[in-house]
Amino acid sequence: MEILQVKQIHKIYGEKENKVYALRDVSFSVEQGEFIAIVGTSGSGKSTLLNLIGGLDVPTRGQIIIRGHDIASLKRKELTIFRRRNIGFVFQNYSLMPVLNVYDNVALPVTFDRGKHVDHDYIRELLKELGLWEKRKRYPSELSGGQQQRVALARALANKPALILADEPTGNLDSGTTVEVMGLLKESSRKYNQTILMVTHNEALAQACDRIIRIEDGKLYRSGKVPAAETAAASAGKDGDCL
Amino acid sequence: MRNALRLALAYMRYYKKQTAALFVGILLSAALLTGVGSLFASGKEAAKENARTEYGDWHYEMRCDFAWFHEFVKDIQDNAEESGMLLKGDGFRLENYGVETVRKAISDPFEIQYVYGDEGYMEIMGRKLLEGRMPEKKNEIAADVQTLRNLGVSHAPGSTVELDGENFTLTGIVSEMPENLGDLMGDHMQVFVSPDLDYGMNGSFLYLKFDESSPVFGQIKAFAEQYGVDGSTVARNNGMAGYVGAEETKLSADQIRTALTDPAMGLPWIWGSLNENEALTEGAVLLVLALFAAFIIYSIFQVSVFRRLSQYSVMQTLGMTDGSAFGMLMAEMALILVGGYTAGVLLGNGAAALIYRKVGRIFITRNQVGENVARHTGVSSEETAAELSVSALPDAGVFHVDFRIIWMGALFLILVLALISFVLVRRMRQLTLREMIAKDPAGRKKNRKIYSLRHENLTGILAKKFMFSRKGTFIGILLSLSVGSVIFLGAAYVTENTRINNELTFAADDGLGSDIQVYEASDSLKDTIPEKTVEELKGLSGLENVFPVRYMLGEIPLYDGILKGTSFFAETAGEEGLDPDPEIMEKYNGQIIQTGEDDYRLKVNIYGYDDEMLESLNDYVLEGSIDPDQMRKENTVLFKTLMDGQGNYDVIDIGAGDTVQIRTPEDPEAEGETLKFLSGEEDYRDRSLKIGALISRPLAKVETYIGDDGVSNVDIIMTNEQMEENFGVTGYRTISISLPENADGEDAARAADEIRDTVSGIRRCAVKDYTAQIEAQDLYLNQQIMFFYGIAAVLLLISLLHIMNSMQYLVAERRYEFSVLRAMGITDAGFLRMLMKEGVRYGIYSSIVMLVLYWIVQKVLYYFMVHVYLYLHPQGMISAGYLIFMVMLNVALCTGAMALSGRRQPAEARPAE
Repeated sequence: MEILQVKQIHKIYGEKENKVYALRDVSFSVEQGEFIAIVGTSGSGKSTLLNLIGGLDVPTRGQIIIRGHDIASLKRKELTIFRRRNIGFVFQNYSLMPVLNVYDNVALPVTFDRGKHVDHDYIRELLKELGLWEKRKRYPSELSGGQQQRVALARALANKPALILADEPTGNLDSGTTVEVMGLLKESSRKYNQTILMVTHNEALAQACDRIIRIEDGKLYRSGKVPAAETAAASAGKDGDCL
Repeated sequence: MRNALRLALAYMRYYKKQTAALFVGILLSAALLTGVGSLFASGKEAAKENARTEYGDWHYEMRCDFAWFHEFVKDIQDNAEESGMLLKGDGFRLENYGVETVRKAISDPFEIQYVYGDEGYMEIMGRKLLEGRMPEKKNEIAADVQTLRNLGVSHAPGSTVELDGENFTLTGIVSEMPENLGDLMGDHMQVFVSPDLDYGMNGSFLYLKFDESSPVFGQIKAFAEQYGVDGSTVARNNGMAGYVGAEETKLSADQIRTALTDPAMGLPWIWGSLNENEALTEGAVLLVLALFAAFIIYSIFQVSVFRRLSQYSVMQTLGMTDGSAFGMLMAEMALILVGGYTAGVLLGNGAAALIYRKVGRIFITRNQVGENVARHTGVSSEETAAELSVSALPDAGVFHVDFRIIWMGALFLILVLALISFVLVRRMRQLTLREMIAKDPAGRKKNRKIYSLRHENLTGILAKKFMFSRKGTFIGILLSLSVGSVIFLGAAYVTENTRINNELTFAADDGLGSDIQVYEASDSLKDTIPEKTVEELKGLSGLENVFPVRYMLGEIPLYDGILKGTSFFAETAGEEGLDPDPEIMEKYNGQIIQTGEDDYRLKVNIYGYDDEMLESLNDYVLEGSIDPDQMRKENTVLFKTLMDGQGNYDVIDIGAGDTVQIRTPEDPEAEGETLKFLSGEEDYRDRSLKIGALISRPLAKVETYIGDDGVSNVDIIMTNEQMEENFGVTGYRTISISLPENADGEDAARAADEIRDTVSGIRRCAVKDYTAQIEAQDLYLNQQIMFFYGIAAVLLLISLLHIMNSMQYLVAERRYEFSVLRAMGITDAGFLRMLMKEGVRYGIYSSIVMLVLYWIVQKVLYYFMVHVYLYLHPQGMISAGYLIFMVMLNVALCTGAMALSGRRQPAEARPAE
């Protein structure tokens, strides 16, 4: 089942002589449960693409359809609600609320939906799954980078979204923790049949994904499946072997 | 330095809003401080110039027929040209002097002095030659019109004046002597004679005027020392003293210690000693305004600095020293200060000049020279009302910009800026450390509660957590939010009580409670206004109320130590310089006499009031209650007790429910010796009456016996019926008449004429129309109150600016957290709700802090109002309306400011990397 369709997206910043083409005519689609890496050099437009898909920014032209909804046609409030119910974010800097403990950070997006009861069993399961249950009362400042990113992942999963958008989720982590977090992402994708779009500039990590979308100078360069052997090697953290 | 300036300018340009907030904060504070300072200075200047006219333009006077005087004259001749000043000595600078030689003094037909005054004396006393010439021969005199009128001589040069059996030719007419000089020198008239006239009993007096740019007290001390003048022979011009520092106002440590340990003195005495012409009060007001300005500037600027802390930390990493950081902050604030302060001074003084032109008289301090001698008013006090009324105040004169407060304010703010820069640099350094410490979990105990288990919505929890995450900042913000409100409430509280005090004092003390007064200008109990005249007056159209008052002189025993404050009365105080009123001594054997060790007998005024007037006295009740019907039924009376110098009503240990023995002459028309209460028992009647209520002031008064200024006498008040029943008094001594609210000047004049016609046949019965004075007084009081409220409003405005700024800072500081929330999918409404919740909380918490702080401030203000300024019946608590208004305003502002600041946040921000 197609969960995301990106159709002929253009994104232009600035006007007249200051015009910058961030994305040009980008189109692709994503199936439910896919774990996709968006790869490109710095400034290639990969984060812009993620922002557009996440509804954090608006395309200049083109359509983004998530679960059959053209997000450009949604009103501001509808978009906000749609986003929190259908899209989970994982940022490079974790973006946790420093004033809330682990448990409340994870539950936070669910509590925005008034009337929607927080599924505490599911959160417990998530925290246990991600090895955070013992640390549920800790504050972000009391956790390591890897642990914080795990909390961010748990938070992204808490609403059971259609799509998880991860922007350089391992950018701030050491190699050991990177492997650990990648493993969790992969595991989540498998266990919850979760669709994940991950922006990275690390080829080795991209190889661990089901598919790689390459962007250069705002254009989709190549989109293709990763061979199963590569995926297995990368997910086992043997970056060197892959490359 | 150049670098610091460059960076400061760049920051100012970049953070336009913060710069503007700081600019406006400084501008308003400077406007308020310098504007109010100039208003005070202008009022003082006007009062000083008025005192110069009323008392003469001199500071000290002394006998000068001594050897040192020749030395003095020689010095003047030697020094005058050198210094450009008349005489410049060691520690003094003399601006002017005059010599008056009294050739002779006579007491019949009036107290008249034959005087020769040199040019300096005539100038100092403002005696100008209006017509003719000054006397040159022995049989010539010059005098003022008033003196000539008293002597029954035509005021045309050439007239013959007979004085003490001698004939003089009038050669010139001079202007009147300073109006109030008599208060200082004793009432007398002057005639000017030629320098050749000499009876061989000359007395010469030197009048000195020093340079007023420094206190003249130090100068007279230096002068006396230089010429060996006996200090005890030097007299001071008390009318001018307060404006030129002619008195030693310094208190020794011993005096302060004694005052603080003596409950009869205490802080009020110290304050009173130092508060010459309200200088201390005005100083305190200016100090509060200056501190408020400093606080606001600090608060606004620290918000601005903390918003860009990260940039400073980058610069520090790049090697910026603390000194450079200090220089940069200082340069930035100094640049804003120069503009803001200059604009503020211009705005404040411009506004003040306009205010002064309209209502300048409210800033003139009333002259208090006669305060001590006015206690025993006796029969000469009929003019009290007129003297105290606004019409007696001098013209406001021209507006004076107080350059001293401008410079002092600027200097103060520069010091404040330096201190702020220093504190901020220190805090920046500490903050880095603190941030490091904050990462250490062992450092602080954290709340481990999981809120989402019990709360469906975490926005409220977040709002709370945001507030309490940094307790120091939280407390600082609460304090800063509440300070402005507290000052506003304090100002409103004082204003409210000033209004009440003015109204009560106005009605009671000044005798201006009624529009028209009919009274017996006589000290004979036989002279009364009969009942039928009162009825006729009541029948006149155009009168709202007619309140007749009966009077009787009485005496009450104060035995067994009931009189606690024996020093209250001149007769029992035994203090040098505090002499009993000779007229009261002569006619009534004094106000009080001692009959035993702790036993006294006190003369009292006994009044019979109309029911409505008695009910008006409810505003003055200290103890008990007033019900005219009950008073009649139970024959109870009201006891107007005495207040000491600290506003305590415990001079006499008596209260409601006690019984007072009242002695009055048996004959309600008694005269002469009987009124001294020294005749035989058979001449008096004694009544034992229960006190229904203790009150602080009477309303209608009779001042022609032992005097009644509303403060210094005990009055026994009852119904008119009780006056007849108890003491056989049937006639009335005074009638207070009020006109309808809408009556104009013409109505008042017509009513007064009709009243005059009605009472025309009654011996010594006078009618006085106070309507014009009341109108002037009302206008004056309203202007005064409006000014107070105006100041309070500006304070409030500055506070509002500050609250808005603080809230904006709070939101800006959480930009990161808010962007996370946005990314997590909080809706606009949800975000707004969360901010508003936080705003409401800040509003409520700051209101609580405000109420607590205000409660303390109110206690202090209450103490000062009661014990130092002797306000009548001040309210212990400000009207609840103000508090509710401020709480609501606080909540609304914090909420509004928070929501407004929230709107300015990026719509869909990605968490900052």
